Amino acid sequence: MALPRSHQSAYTPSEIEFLAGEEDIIIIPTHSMPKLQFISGSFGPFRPPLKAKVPLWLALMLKKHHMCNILAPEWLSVDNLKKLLNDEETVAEFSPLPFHYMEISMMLLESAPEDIPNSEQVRRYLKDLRETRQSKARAGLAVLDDRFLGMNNLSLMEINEIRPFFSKAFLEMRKLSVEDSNQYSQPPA
Amino acid sequence: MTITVLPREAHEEGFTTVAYKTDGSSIITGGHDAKLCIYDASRSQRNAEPKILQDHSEPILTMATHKASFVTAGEDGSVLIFRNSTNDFEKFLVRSTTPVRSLSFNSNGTRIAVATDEDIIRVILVRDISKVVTLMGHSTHVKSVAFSPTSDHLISTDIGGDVKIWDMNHTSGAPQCIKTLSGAVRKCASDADVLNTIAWSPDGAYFCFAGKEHEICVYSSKDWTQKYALEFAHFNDIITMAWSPNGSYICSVGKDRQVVIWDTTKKSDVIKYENTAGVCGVAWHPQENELAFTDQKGRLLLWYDPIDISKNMPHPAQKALEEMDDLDRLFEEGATQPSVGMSLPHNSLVDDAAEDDGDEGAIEDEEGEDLDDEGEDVDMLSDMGDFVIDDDGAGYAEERQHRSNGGGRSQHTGVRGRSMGPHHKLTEQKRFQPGATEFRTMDTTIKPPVPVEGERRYMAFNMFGIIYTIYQNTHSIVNVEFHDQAQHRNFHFTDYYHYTMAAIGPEGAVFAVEGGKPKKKEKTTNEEGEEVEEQEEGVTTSILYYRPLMNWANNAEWTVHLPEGENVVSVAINECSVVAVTSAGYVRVFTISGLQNHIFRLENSVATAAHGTLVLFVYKQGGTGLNGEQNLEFMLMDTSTQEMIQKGNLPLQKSSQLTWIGFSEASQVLMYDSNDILSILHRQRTFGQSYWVPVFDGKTTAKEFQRQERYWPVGMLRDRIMCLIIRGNNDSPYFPRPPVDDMELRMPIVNLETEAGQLEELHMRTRLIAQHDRTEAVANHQEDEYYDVLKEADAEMDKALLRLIQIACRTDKEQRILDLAFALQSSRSMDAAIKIVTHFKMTNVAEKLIQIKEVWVWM
Repeated sequence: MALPRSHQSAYTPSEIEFLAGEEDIIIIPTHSMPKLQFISGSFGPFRPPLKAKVPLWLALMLKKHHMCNILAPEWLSVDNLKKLLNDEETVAEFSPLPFHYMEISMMLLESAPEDIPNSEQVRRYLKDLRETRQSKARAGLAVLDDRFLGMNNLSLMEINEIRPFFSKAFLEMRKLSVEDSNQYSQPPA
Repeated sequence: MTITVLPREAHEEGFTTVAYKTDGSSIITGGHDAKLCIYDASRSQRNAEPKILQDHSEPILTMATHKASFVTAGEDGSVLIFRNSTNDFEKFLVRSTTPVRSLSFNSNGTRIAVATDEDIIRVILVRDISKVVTLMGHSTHVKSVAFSPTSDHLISTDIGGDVKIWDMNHTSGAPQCIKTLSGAVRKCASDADVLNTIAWSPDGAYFCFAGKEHEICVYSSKDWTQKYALEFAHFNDIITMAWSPNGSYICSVGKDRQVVIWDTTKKSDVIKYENTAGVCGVAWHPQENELAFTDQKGRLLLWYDPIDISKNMPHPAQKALEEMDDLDRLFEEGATQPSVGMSLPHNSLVDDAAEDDGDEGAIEDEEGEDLDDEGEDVDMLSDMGDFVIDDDGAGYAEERQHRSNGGGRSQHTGVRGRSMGPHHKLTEQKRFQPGATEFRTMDTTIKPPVPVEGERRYMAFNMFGIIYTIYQNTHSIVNVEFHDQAQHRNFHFTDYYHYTMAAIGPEGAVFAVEGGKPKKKEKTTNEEGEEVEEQEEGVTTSILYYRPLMNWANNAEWTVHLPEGENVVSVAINECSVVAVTSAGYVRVFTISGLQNHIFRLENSVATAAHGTLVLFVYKQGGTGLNGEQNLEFMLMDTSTQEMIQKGNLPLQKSSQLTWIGFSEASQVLMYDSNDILSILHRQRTFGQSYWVPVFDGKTTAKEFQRQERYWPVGMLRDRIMCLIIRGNNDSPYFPRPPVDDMELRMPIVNLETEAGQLEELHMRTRLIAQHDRTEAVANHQEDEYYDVLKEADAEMDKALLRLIQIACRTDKEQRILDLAFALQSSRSMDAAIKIVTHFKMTNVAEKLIQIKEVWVWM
């Protein structure tokens, strides 16, 4: 993979997207179908208008064939995102978003924007959220030391973004501190 | 109607607050410039210069008024009391080191509650400011306080979002917090403009505050629970609000620059005014139809006649007059009885009426108690009397309403105070089409009212598909959509008849419209090629129109015109026929191809529904009972054989209504009533043996989820109700089309919170449904198709029973174990039951079970 060396230790965004595809989502099928058998399990039977819970990848596939409508997850609403953004700006902690929020919302907004109420606004809020969180994560890196870095509620994509820098820097700092402690523990006789 | 708002520059830019003196003579404003302005409130003096008081040193944040005095406070932390008559500074009530956020007088003005930037509330005796009671309990700074109109309670909010209710007359002597609504309001900073005002209705029965989502939550003070919410008007934080002096309206103002007036009986917004700046203070004139509000630019705005009384809307203050007088009379010791005429100085008609019964009525001062007035009974029946038409434009409608209220309240008891119980209403069961809704906004300027252009409603909504119509003035657009699009494509067509009812089934859709309208002008081209408008003679006839979904044959659609004067009142379609009930009391049955197949008489039809080969008719047997019973009956008919399958009555509680009828997927008859209970018709195939079994209680379910929602049924699967969830104050779904939800059925039996109760319910429900399925399978010769389902149901029932046996063993209920064992279906389950019992070392029970098993096998 043609990635810069520093990024090779991390996932690529498409890999993360693949991982997020396993998240469950609720759909309303528009075609009735018998049970669908897959390696990862069987889903259905689908009987419109009964809702069904399927993995995201299947939902997107069905959506592509116009065989279902996707029900936007509860957190992906303008009101909720507005609240989260507000919290994000006022509270030091990261606001509680799903681990795969970026990937899920991205995939949904891309392939099923008509199923998300006020998708344009949602998109805007998500962007704001992402920027706020990114700057927060960067600010968090400033307090990096050789022991640990605590950032709760960080999503996979965000972790992935800081991973190359973080792991490198962390190791460097560890090295330094080991040298430091060596110096202190063995005072010159 | 035009909105007359008079703006006046009052203060420097910044937070500004406003209040009326309780006699309505002046308006007091306090602003960011630490000044108090006192304006003459009479309309002739509207441009007069205000009197300015400069006793505060920092911005004024809050004010409270009472009969003799008014108090103000602000960021300087001092609470000042002024004399009402002279506007003279009287004394300091409190000097606090932190800003004062809220003040509230109790009803007789002897005490005042003060909220400062601390987590305590001080209640101070006005006469002796050394007497202070502190209320402790908030964990963050208190934001607002409000005494109830009776002074029995005090409600406070804090910046952490909690609302606390304090009993001021607690038996322990000291005020006690009796309830905390935690997180009921939005968290805010203590110096935020949002005031989190608690507004009490003038009669003290309700209070309201701004909820978290820009809505107003109205709570009852009887049980401290939310009764309803007023929402969808503000789109930013609500700063404060006020009830009109008679409690008919609430005016809320917010950061979105809007002033919204809500009607508390209709629970909807009446009128809005959009200001040029955020509005931060509001007050109603105590007697007049007038509203004062202040904005963040420091302006005072007076809104004259915000309520359009000419449109039969109640005056915002009229009723309150006598109530205030009551209070005054109670608290004014030794005061002489004011004459009846004086208590209502603004309504000469009422004066006359009151003088009529002055002889016997003046002493008790119960105006409007004379029930001998004709039409009074009618007034009592209608809950608010708002149907009275003000035909002579002399405020007659108000007078009537006033009198009916007065009469209603002092009817027998003689106790004053508004009676809060609902007036007994006789509402006749409305005729309805299952799954249809009504247009929301109607243009009432035209008679008869027509929907606003572009307005839409559902005509049919079932498990198969949805029909909705969009009104477009000259025509409508009818859309037909399906849940399962594998079989049918959605379609729409232009409808020049404005069809009013529709039904949809797997075979097709049927539409109908009543006749009786004058015929449309039709543009025809005459011989010379000119367009001529011709008015045809007579009126339109009622039309029934069928449109097939599967068309292997050409011209499968058909239209029927009914004889003049006969209107279709309800339609239904099933697999083999189209049924139209008409105003002539006929049920006309057509085959799918349009062949007239059957006709019979059925009077007073209410609703029809169809499924499979069945049709369910609901009709009235006699009129509405005097005590509110609807006396509805039903008839279930098979249209393929024209056989009557079942007939009986509908169990409707007093003053409840039927809201929906339908069929489950397995052809079981269902009904849903206005008490949110879904019932199934048990044993519907055995004539004369059927009865209704409740299987779902919407109110309990919503309470369990702790959500304010209602369920609008669409259908039922084998063991789940399919419904639309309706939130807010709506009672029907709207657009965009909400998703269909499925809820588990739950029969309203007792002890549902215990495991045993839940298992009992599960067993009972599965048994009933399986029993229905079994008879249905036999009736339709589908035993093979049902075989798996029934086997599964048996297994499920046995599983539930075995778990119940285990619970019974644990609690040593031997008799119950036998009961449960008798209900088991298979011998394998019986073996398991014996195993369970032996495990618990109940040998005598085990012996009995073995005996039962032997008898069983032998049978």
